[in-house]
Amino acid sequence: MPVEQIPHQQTGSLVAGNRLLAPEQRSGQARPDRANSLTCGHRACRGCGEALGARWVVDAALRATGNRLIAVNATGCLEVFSTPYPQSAWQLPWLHSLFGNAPAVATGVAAALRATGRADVRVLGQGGDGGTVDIGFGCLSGMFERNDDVLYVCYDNEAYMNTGVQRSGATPAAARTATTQAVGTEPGNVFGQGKNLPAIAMAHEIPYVATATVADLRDLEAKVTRAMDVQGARYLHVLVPCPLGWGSEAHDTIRLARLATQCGLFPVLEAAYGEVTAATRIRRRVPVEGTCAGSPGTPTCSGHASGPTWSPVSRRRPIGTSPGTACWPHRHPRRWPDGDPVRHHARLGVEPDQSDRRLARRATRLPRPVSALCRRVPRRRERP
Amino acid sequence: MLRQIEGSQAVAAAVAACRPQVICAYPISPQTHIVEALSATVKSGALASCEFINVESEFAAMSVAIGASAAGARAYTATASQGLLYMAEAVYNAAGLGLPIVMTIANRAIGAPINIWNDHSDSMVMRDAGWVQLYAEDNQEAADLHVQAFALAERLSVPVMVCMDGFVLTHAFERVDVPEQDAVDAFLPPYRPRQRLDPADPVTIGAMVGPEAFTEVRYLAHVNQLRALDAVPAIAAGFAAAFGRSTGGLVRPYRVDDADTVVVALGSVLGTLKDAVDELRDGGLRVGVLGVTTYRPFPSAAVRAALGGARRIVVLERAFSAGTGGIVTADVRGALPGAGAGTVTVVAGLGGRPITRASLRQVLADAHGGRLEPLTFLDLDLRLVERELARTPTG
Amino acid sequence: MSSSMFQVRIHGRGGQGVVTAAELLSVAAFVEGRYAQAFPSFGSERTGAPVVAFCRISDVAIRRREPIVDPDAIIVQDTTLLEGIDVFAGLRQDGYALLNAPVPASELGLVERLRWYPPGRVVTVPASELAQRHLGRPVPNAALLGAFAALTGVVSAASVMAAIRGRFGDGLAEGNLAAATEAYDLVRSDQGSAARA
Repeated sequence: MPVEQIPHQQTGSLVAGNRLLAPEQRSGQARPDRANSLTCGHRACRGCGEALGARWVVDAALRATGNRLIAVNATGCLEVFSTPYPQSAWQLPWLHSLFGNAPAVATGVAAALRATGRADVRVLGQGGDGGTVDIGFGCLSGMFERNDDVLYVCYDNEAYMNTGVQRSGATPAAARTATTQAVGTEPGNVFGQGKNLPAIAMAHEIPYVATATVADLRDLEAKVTRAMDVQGARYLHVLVPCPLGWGSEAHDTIRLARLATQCGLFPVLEAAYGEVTAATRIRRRVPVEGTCAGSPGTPTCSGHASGPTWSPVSRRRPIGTSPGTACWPHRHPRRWPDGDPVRHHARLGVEPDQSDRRLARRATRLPRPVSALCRRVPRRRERP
Repeated sequence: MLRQIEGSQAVAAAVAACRPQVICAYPISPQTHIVEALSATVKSGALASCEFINVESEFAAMSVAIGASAAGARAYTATASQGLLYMAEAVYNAAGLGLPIVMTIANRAIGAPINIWNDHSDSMVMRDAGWVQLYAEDNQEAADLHVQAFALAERLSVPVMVCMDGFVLTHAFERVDVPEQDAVDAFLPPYRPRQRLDPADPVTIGAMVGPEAFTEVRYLAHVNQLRALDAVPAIAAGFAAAFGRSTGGLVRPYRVDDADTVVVALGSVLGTLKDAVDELRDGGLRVGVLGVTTYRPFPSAAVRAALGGARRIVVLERAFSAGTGGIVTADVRGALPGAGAGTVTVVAGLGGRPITRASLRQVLADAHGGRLEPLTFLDLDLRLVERELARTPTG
Repeated sequence: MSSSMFQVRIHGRGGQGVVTAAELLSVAAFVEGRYAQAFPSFGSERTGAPVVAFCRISDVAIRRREPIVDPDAIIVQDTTLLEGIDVFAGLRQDGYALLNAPVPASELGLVERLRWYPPGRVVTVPASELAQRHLGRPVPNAALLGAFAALTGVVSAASVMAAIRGRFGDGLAEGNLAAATEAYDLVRSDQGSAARA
């Protein structure tokens, strides 16, 4: 279950607002003894969602394991900005090998820990969306399939930011990247492409899958803590806005992440053994238009209209959207999590609108989603 | 224990005697029998506290080995051919991280055209990866080299490839004195990593190194590799003292002392070569053989010493660089004074083409008579290639 | 060196235990304290496809690894191969040929061949039938090895039996041993009658 929602007006800027909460309700980051695993002095951009997310995740994991934790990092921004030799910002044992192999390296670490009698030490693998959904996907799927005792965290900023904002398999439709330029009236990234990795992770029927954003610290910490309570392969997908790549203001990182969930673009959920067990309800659905800093775009969350009305994230890039705007169900008009957008939004607590109904009619003509097929397959993994 | 045993089984038994803690494997011919046997050994419980992990690719196999080794476990894997190339990025990474992983290469050709049979194209690709490369002449040496490889890897903190000819050795049954557990335990101490991932003493491994220090990192790796030139003979001598047989080492000369012509070669062809040399010696030709057991780092001094008296040197290679010629030849020439003038290359046994004594006798006799071109392809079907060349427009 | 080395080439089809036969022969020689080298023809061995395996036996260490082109003996596990493959290729004049067939070699279209070799050197044994009877499966390799011991005397029957016992589990070993023993006796009695004839 998601953590108890604290009204925003009560918490204010999240951490400062912790003072208004009972001590047991406060976030780990509010504790004076927090691990500060990714310590200050690293070289991330200002407003970096990934740096924020990584520190919160690793701190929470350290707390959950009593500091008995080893991190394995894929190549990417997080690795580059945190370990410029001879410095390291990491306060825990940390290994970087390659771009595409972090899940397999994490498997090796976990195997070594078992073989050397240190099974109480846990393993956390982490990488960006490129290292996870694209180049590292084979290793990730293998790690899932073997149910190795690894929590793998994907910090999804929706493109290859380290190399200069190129399209990844997590880049939303129409998003402008360096390799999916918005030229003329055409939006950026192509429609109907991309991977819904949380759904793919769920299809592996691993014990725990969750999504989160850097907009809800306590939810993120609770999910990491819960994940560390579970043995086996676990997957956490964290939306981390990237000011450089999204063309957003540094002070908007958390706001954009929050809006992405509130407009329905990024569902925040938990799943166990392939079934959704909890979803964070959207109290008051906001239009994508507002999310995207006054874009001329569509008033719905779907963003499925065509032409030049695609929502840009910032006024500075008026044509085409930035990678931050479309959530993954909406990137995949053929793969609605609940079969069609009406049912999908209904479950998220959102009143279906005209566009949803139109898309639902279309969805019924499309092939059944893979997840629906999977449910008929007998479950291999037993619940504990 | 003396056994009539398949090469792969002998190697698996030797590896198991080294008590690896993590074994990861992805199947590729002709490596499969080795990891199949190890899988059964681990399953049987004979190898206490060893994790056998079936992975989804060779890239993952080497990656799992990297993680395991960095976390302080003795790690082993095996591959061949396309598999070695598929894991190439991780192969370099393991060397860069200085992880003492031992890997068997069941040498096999690289496609296209796809070919499952033996040559050295695969391991030759990896000669600059920063791994020590050892080449086995027979299955006794293949088994023994694995025990020596773990000792070497862990002494120097470098990864070691043990190369054995696919099928020719891996699938051949012959007499092998399989290293006994007690003797291996006495020879090979438990793995004590120089550093390991440990929450009690956190380290960052695999940091990003910029231009200001990258050259120094690489230079230090070079110096460490060169230390193998002392460590390999020392470990081979220690092994000989412990096990009572001489395997491994840098080079293996055979009847070179008074030889006018010496053939330099790697791997299982050495046996056939020795028979051919004996036959030519019976006919009065003074020929000899120099086996190169340690190919990386290249034992230039040992090669120079062994080839000092020879007028003609033939480097017999089971791989070559298209458009250039021999690969080992360049190393041999570099080791010799005057850049090894009179050194010729014979490319043989590509993609499993048998190397026969008859062909070897002929090519050695030609070399001895100074009738050999700088680059010769043994048993090349000239009719076929000339017909094809005639069909192909030039320029 | 060649004089002290005995080279055998085994022809058959994938699934007939051709490679196992070469292995067992090498183990039989090993049991006698000799050196032996067995290796397959390194193909992609699919069931039913022609397969070749080799075995060298010697009193000194064997170094060469070339395929055997001038065998001292050939074993043919499947006579349907005679139509497509020259199984006799390179067989020495004083060599042996052992074929798995329920009929004499003269009825296999080998009359010409029989003329080239000394009497009693080209021999058939109904190995598949023996295996079917004793083992319940027509896997002829053990029976052929029993016959090979009788035909050539290169390895003793006892060594072949020891190799079979070491290779197969209890259930399979008994059947294979029985098939090998009967094949050995068959060829011995044939040789005896041939010698008398």
